[in-house]
Amino acid sequence: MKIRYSVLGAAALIGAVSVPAIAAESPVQNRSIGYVMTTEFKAIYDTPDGKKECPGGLNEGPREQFKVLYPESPGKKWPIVDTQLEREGDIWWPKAEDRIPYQYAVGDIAFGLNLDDKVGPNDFTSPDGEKGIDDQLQRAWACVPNYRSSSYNLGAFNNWRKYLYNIVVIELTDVDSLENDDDVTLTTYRGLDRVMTDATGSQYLAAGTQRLDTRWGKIFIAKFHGKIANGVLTTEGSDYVMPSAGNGRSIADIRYYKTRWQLKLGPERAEGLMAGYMDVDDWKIATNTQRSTHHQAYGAASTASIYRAMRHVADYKPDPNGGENHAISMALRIRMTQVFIKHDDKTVSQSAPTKAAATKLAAGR
Amino acid sequence: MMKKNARLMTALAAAFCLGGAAQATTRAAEFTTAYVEEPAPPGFKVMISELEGPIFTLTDGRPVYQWPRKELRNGGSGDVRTSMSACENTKTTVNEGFMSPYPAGLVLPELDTRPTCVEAWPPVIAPADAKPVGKWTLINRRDKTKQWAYEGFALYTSAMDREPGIPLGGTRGGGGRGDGPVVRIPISPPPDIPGQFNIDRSDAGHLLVAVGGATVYTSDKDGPNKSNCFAACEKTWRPILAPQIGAQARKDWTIIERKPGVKQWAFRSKPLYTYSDDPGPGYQDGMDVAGWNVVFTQRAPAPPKEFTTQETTGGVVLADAKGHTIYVYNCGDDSLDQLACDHPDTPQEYRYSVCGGGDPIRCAKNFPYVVAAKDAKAPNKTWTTMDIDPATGRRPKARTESLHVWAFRDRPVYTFAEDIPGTVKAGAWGEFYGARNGYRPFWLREVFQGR
Repeated sequence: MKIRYSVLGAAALIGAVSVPAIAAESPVQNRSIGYVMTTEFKAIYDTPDGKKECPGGLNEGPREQFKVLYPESPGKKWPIVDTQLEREGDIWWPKAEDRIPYQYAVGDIAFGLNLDDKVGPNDFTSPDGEKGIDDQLQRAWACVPNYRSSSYNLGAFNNWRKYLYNIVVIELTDVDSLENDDDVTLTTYRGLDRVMTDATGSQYLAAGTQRLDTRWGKIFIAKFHGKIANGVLTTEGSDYVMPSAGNGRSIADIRYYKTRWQLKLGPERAEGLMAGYMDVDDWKIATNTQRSTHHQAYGAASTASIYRAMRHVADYKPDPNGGENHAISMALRIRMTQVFIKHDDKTVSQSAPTKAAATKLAAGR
Repeated sequence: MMKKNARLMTALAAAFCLGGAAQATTRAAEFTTAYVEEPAPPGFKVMISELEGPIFTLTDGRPVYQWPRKELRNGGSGDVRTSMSACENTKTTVNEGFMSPYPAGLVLPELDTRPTCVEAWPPVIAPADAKPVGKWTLINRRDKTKQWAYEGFALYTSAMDREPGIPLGGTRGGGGRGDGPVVRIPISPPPDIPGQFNIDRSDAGHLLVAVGGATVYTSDKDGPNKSNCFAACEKTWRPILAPQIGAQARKDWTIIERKPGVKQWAFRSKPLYTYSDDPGPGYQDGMDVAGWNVVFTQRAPAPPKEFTTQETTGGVVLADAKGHTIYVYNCGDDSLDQLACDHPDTPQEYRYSVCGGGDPIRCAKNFPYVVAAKDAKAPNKTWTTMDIDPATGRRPKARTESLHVWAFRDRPVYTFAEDIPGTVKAGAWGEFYGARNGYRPFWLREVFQGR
């Protein structure tokens, strides 16, 4: 069995990334360092043919579902109200029951973090063997082609370069060492500047500058207490709103409850997980307003069916009137690039770029 | 988050003339986008639309429209330049499947009352002896009559229009963006602006920008046709210089001598600048600096006076009295005719699908109408009140069933039940980001999007 992605498994990478002591050339200056998010994918554990986690097969998308529900037959004229508009109505206001059986993922391995510090019967085990992983999104999404490792969509829509609305910046403060520090603070912001890339646009470069949006983006500012051990930052849980942007000039923000970060830190990169309980209704609005049914169909993603599945296995934020929960445990695989943060007072909180980063910039790499 | 940021409110109040209806009417009359007078055939004239600016109309005031072809996901519709009109007098009964992923051949709603394209968009027929004039030409229709065309595109009127100079059938703002329908647009004479400038249409008005998209500003510290921005100021606020040779003053535009031998453009006697700290085209960060203003060649008509402005995570929106974002509904059907479905007199089934899963009552709860006081007075011809039966989405047959609601361009406006002041959750809500069948927020200033 080949696992294509391994994030916690990337702990192996930890040893490969040298973690310098803080020195004059370090990007850690004034006991702080900034990073900007460059990649964010849902951390789905899958196998190449999907037979192990999806023995019932993969879910079908809007186009295939339409053909099943409204089959062509000679002389049959389907009204648009009962077909296309019924499907769109279900996308925006999902009915309680699905007309097509949904394929949930089976198995007990998933990426993610232990969000409730418990080991429960519905929890997963990480590929590294850690028990108590909370990731019910694995159940709901692992059999949807759109979210699997082989998805065309994973590489086709790089929202982190296309838009300015959703520039996610973190600043670590109270940092004495990038290797071991038992008391640091992670603060999230929305950045105001495009992520810096090389001339080809394909590689993100460290040592860019990010101004912080403290006016329009106040709701994106959140603080997390954490510690660094062996170069890996782990934070405690806190609620976080992440800005989200997509096609059609839409904006929709997603609430993540009890969010925790686990990042392998380096002077130019940070990589790891952001895990928490994602608000399912926020996700529904974000995904529907940022990718049309036409685009969702590329990845065979029927968002109405997926929404129902997510609500069915959601494990946090109970409905006050009883019934299903409104938030689902999950993890994002994220990659970040070091940036120098420019605060409101127009002073840059860190020093000039490291020699290495400056050399890279000069070389245009 | 009901922000009353003084600078912002001042700027937007200025943009919208929030001081009241009477003032709005006066100011709209004062400030319209100047246009270049061109020869036109008999039967046409120019009128000033408070929303669109100068538009061509028939002599009785009916606006005239073009329907330029646009390619959609699976084919296209509309008129090809210099070709015969694609708008026929045949009732279409099924969709074309232009909008993936749905197939063609689905039966359209309300066929018994569905107009033909020609009934909805009567062609502007020319007299038999008509002769082309300038940009105005003649195109043969299938029935051998001649149809007027402007810049090669056949011309129509709209069955929706009721008052002279008020184009309810179409607009140059909103509606036809991206995957939106192939819309009809009112035609206008070219704006009379120097070649270094463009006009961007937004919900706030006709915004003056430099070629390339940089926002243009004026300073409160400048005198009439006199710049007081020098030294450090001019490094931050870059004067828009006029060419030494060939620049010509015209209505609204003057050329001032900034320094000996250095000429600067001024608009309505105000010297013009760009802002060096604007990160790129489309940004309006300079309006946050005290004493500096963006420039409208024509401001948008004032909204109802009880409306507010609201800061959100994406910029500034128009909001109702309680601070809830105002939304406009867009809809064009998937037929060859691309007929509108965004008006109370058109089929409501499209809207019901995305606002309530097909249920009109749920729809009215999810996207409530913005109710107006019974005695509310329309501030202008663009923002008006109308009676609506919420059970049908149409004008009521009996007055007792109705709500009295605010309307923009004769279409009700809405809020979204899941919004709180400062959120825009239903931005791009509906088919194809709300452009085809759905909602768009009434943005007064978009800070991040589209860049």
